[in-house]
Amino acid sequence: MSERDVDWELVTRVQRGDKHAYELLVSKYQRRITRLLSRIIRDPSDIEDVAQEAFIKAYRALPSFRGESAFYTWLYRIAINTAKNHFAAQGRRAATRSSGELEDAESSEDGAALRDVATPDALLLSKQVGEAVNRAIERLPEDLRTAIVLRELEGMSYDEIATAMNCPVGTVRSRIFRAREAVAAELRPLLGTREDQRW
Amino acid sequence: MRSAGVGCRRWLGASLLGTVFCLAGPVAQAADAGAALSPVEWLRAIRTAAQRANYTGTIVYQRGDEVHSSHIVHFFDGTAPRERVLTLDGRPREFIRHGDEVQCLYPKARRVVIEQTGPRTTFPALGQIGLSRVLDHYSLTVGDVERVAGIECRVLELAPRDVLRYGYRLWVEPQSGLLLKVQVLGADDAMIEQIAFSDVRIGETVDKAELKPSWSTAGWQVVRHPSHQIELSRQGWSITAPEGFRVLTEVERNLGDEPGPAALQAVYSDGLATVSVFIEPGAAPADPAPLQHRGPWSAFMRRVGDARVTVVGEVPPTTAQSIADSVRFVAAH
Amino acid sequence: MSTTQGAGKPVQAEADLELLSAWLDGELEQGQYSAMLDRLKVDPALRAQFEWFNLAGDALRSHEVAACHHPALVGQVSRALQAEPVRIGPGALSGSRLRRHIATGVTVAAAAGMLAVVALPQLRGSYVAPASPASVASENRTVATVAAAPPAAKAEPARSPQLDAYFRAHRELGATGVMPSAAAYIRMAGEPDR
Repeated sequence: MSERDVDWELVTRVQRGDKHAYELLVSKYQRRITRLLSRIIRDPSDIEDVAQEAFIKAYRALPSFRGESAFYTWLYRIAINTAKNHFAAQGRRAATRSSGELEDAESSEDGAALRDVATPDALLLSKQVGEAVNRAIERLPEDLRTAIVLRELEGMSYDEIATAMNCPVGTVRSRIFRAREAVAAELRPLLGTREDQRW
Repeated sequence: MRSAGVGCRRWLGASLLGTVFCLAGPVAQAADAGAALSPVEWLRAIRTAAQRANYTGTIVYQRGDEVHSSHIVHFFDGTAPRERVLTLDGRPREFIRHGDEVQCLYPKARRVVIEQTGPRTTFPALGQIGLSRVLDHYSLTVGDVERVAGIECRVLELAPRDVLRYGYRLWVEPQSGLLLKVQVLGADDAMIEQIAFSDVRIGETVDKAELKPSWSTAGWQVVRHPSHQIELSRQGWSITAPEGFRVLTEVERNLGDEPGPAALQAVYSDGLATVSVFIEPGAAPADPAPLQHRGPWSAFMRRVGDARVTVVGEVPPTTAQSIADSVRFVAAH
Repeated sequence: MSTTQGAGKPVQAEADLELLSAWLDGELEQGQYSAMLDRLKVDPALRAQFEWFNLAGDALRSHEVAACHHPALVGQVSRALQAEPVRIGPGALSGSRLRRHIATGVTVAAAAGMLAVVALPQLRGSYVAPASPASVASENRTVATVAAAPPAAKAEPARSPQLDAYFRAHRELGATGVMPSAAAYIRMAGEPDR
């Protein structure tokens, strides 16, 4: 099942009245959306506001979403529009760029045409995340490393990975799970709140 | 923004890589079903075939007014790809590949240059660019069936999702996954270059004798450009790659054929296009060269302090320029 | 489901977490899928793990994205959602798409194929979209693009030997595996000998 189908399952649950399923979608995409917005909006407090607004707007528009595109693609466009309206409401253009460039962002899935306005803190954190991930990956036994990379970077299904690694699907499932735990454990000290340290 | 990692090991063992690349089945099975593969499966099939398919044929290369023909032989010997490309017009040349090593024969100059291609030890530890990442920055659409060199192919459009990269149109032979024609497309779908088979035989066993060079290389000069891996940030340099481009490798190496001061080279890729950034401390150009492009490549050169920074890659000129502009000397560690 | 240990901290049973991990990848049966969704509703520890597994995936794919972790955001949206009326949509009537891998591919590819033909001009960003809709009549298109003189083809700059050295060094290390390896050599057919 592709990522698109996984998301569609959640969307159909929301469309049947399950708000909580929507929270799972928010949890899944909050980083990609705030990353996108951080390339348009300079003020960090504004970014969170606009992100929240975008997710609410998407929730309201969800009844009309029929899965013609991937959910993220659809959400992405709503986020860009929300950002544009945000600036319009404040009576000014995007803090760092002309609206022409904002239109480029609309047509590019990841806002890739936009330049980074990362703060030194953000750059540092990004670097630390990279180091943490590298550490985690290097410490993994080879079979766990292979399984998680084939899954997360190559997008292969469990069946395909089982064929590639010549092992049962159940083993693939277990390896991916343990690898995920290891990466998450390395990231917790960096990105977790005190609450998270409990789990 | 890239992160400094300490990856020094190829994360995916060679033998496993071979196994993964055995999944060429889906393309053949799906041939009758039409376009029933997912984008990742198409890319995987193409990549597998690039390594493992056996074929012999004539390739015609077009760029603007230039047309060049080459003869090519390629097969997989069970462990590594073996290949020989020879020019059919213009200057006589041959390129003979065994796995990652390529011997470039220049008979007029009586010189063999040995290139070590392919990922060295990869950096960061996560290795090659995953295929699903390619699809983050290109959308793949499956089109009609068209004939190339008399063989039916499926047309695939790899459209860039932003203006930072070029588009590609691929003609894939569905049974083997082999690319029979590739176009690199710029703005408005304008064709920048085309590489296409004018005739090809796929799947037949290839005789190893086909790999022998046309000339004896006795007495020729043998040139290598050894390089070793470095960490660019440790040398005090910082580069901000555009979205989706990740570091493939960072090395220190010789650029010219004569011994001389070393250059730093950082290679970035989004899985399809690659860009190299060269930094030569102490070699600042008197007049920075203007932005150039040659076919699919853009090249841009500028000065940073007393260093010359040159960016070369299969990307639009503005992308090359923005990478060059982002190069900074931060501090030596 | 969860077991407590020593200091009274609840610890998720390994089996549950492995199930969650498989759920994330869409690798459970339809029945299990709904069950997990229901459990995520009521189990905050499981929810937290869901968040961490997603974060791990994001981090593997992009350090910059993972660094944009805003844990408070989900709570804020959740509170704002409470004020929203429940929304019913077409998904309430459509069937599940949980199917075997191949079949799913057919469904999604067909839809994407149709859409992308229309959307293609927009994806080029600031490039001017062609006036007529991009048709999939590829034969006509092939002829047209070869005939059109691409702007890049005009007067290529004089070859400088210096630039050649860069191109060769780039060629040596710049392979991606999707484009055929011979392309790098075929492209430089017109270059001078070293």
